[in-house]
Amino acid sequence: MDALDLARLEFGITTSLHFLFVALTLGLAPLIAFLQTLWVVRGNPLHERLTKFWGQIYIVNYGLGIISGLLLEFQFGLNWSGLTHFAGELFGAPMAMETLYAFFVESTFLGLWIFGWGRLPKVVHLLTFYVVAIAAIGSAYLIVVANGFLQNPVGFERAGDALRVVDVGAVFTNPAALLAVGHILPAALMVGGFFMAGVSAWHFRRGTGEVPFFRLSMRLGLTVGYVATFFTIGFGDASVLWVVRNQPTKLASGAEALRAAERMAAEHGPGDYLAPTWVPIALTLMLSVAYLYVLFALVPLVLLGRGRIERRRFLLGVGVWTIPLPFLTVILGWTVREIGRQPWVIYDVLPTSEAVSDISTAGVLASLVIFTTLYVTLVVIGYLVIARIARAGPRSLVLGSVLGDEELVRER
Amino acid sequence: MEIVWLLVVGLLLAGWYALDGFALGAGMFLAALRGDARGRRRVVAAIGPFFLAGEVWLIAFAGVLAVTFPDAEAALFTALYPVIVVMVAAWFVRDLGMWLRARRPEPGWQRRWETAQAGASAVFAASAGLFLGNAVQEPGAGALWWLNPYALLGALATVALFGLHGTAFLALRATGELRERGRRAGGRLAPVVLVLLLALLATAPLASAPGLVPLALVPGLAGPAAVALAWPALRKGRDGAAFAGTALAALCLPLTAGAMMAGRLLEGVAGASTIDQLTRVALPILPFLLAAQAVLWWVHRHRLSDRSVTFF
Repeated sequence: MDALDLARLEFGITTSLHFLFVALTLGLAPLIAFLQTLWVVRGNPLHERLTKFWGQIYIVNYGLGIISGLLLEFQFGLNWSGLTHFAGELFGAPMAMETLYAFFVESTFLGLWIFGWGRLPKVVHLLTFYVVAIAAIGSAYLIVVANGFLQNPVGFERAGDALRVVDVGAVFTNPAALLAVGHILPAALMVGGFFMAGVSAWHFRRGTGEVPFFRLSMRLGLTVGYVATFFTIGFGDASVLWVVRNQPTKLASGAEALRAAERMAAEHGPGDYLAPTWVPIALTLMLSVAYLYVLFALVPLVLLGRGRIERRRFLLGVGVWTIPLPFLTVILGWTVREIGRQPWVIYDVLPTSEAVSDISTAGVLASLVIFTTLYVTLVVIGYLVIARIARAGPRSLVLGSVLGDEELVRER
Repeated sequence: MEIVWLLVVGLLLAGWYALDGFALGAGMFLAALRGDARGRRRVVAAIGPFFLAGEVWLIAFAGVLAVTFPDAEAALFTALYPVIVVMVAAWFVRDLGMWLRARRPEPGWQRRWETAQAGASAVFAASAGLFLGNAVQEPGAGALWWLNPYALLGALATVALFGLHGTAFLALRATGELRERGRRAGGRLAPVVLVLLLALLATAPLASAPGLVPLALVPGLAGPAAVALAWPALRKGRDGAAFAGTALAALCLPLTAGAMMAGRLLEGVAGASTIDQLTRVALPILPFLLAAQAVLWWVHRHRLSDRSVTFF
């Protein structure tokens, strides 16, 4: 493996693992915003406990997302300086806007939300979470605009050895970005919704006794997750149709793909311009999972009425054991999108081999080993911690607790 | 407009030095509180509300630098590859410690993450110092050139300065025993920091080709002066003045380095159309970001008490 392969591997590992946390953050935020709104409007303590319980899972998951995202901002400068030099204006600008408009705002307001518990007026406190949720969606949009440019470069012209924007509107309304946002947001709601339902199923199965608490969680999670499935499929199918027409080499089959590959070879020199043959298989797998949900998530949905689902031990078990499934499927989706783009970093414009920095193989290898170790540690310990919080249930709520009562508990 | 963006990039990095620097310093202070679990818990609680809002400045710096000065960034990041890898790895571990510490009640678990946080905070601070200490020089030859004496002096000065900034923060935010310990430690550290900052300033002409341009002298001298004012303030218990002094000193470090390398940064500036684009779409958010940070500080302006919200 040379520096290019290692840099690609490092990018793939770190972004995929980062996206595990991003998906749950994006999916849980609207659900928590809904629960806290109920609490503020109705003043029911049940809704307060729901907000705190799902909120603390959300926060820990968000924290793990930040940590796994730290490297990504630096990775472009470290390993892919050719890309920032060549397309800083088109790719870098939405990335920089993401750090300022979305991440900076999201982190600051999440800090206000966590530590404003009981300090800020209730409505103001709720509004800080709305800002967090909107910033999260804005963050997803801007990142996908940056990625969309790599998939479908629009609104640019060549100026010397770099690209220049000629149509900002085209960059921000790139179909490769809009279709992806339409697909990713409901996919994240599937992750969040079925996670919420799965955790509730665990509590019913164990008979932990918090019936009204997890009944509401189960209803909210299942309903949102199920409805989101249809939107995920709709935008997913639209994206596939779009890819077939615009990125023929991605799904590597048919005369169209071969013609496109021949044209690229003529224009950019000889090379393998077809994506690996397993990409369409991965795509089919992703679609199959979505249709499984359409079919089988209907069963618990029908049994929601009068709490019949709460006594079906087998079904509850399925709900628990399938919590990882939506997570794995969203990673599969990114893999299709990103591997399918190869060998290009900017489709049909800049190959990855020209974007990689002038760095030594040993240097990239060392950073790959260090960060893979750290990321695996983070994912393992992080999910054990999240599982622990989820299992402890609403009886151990730490969100909004103060230094005084924490020390009381300790001294007992 | 390039000058405005140079200032924005400088402001973002300086913001990180001032607003995450004390979290790193207080993190290192955890190591000094061996055998005092209650004190360590209070240190983490003191940083808590500001932690998320402090580290975002460095992310924002990296993101904005990559677009506005892409070639300067590429040159710096390639030359200082190992420094940045170590820095991000230390940052990763520091944050893991902060986020995971309170997630389990066992004292052993908490102690391990506190140790990780203390060690990683020191490495993070040192690599930030190495980064700036090398950035002001022309890249040298050899795989280990980045371990040159000037950069090592920069690393040492940054660790000491962040340590001082952290103790001043604890003196400002804590009460009772912890506040006293912070103040005493700060009083001992201040002269060391003063000497290191002056040494860094005095040897700068040896390290950097353009040397100390007059513009760099302003923050270069303001930093040690602020430490010289914070020192008596710490001893007399004027905690607010002391913290303001150490924050100013932390701000001045990247501004001095930035002024020394402004010429090279400006050579690596992005094209005029990029700068114009960004001025239109990204500059207007800055006042809002500053206001949100100010609100956060205002909400948590009180000293730590039994009623302080905790999470970490």
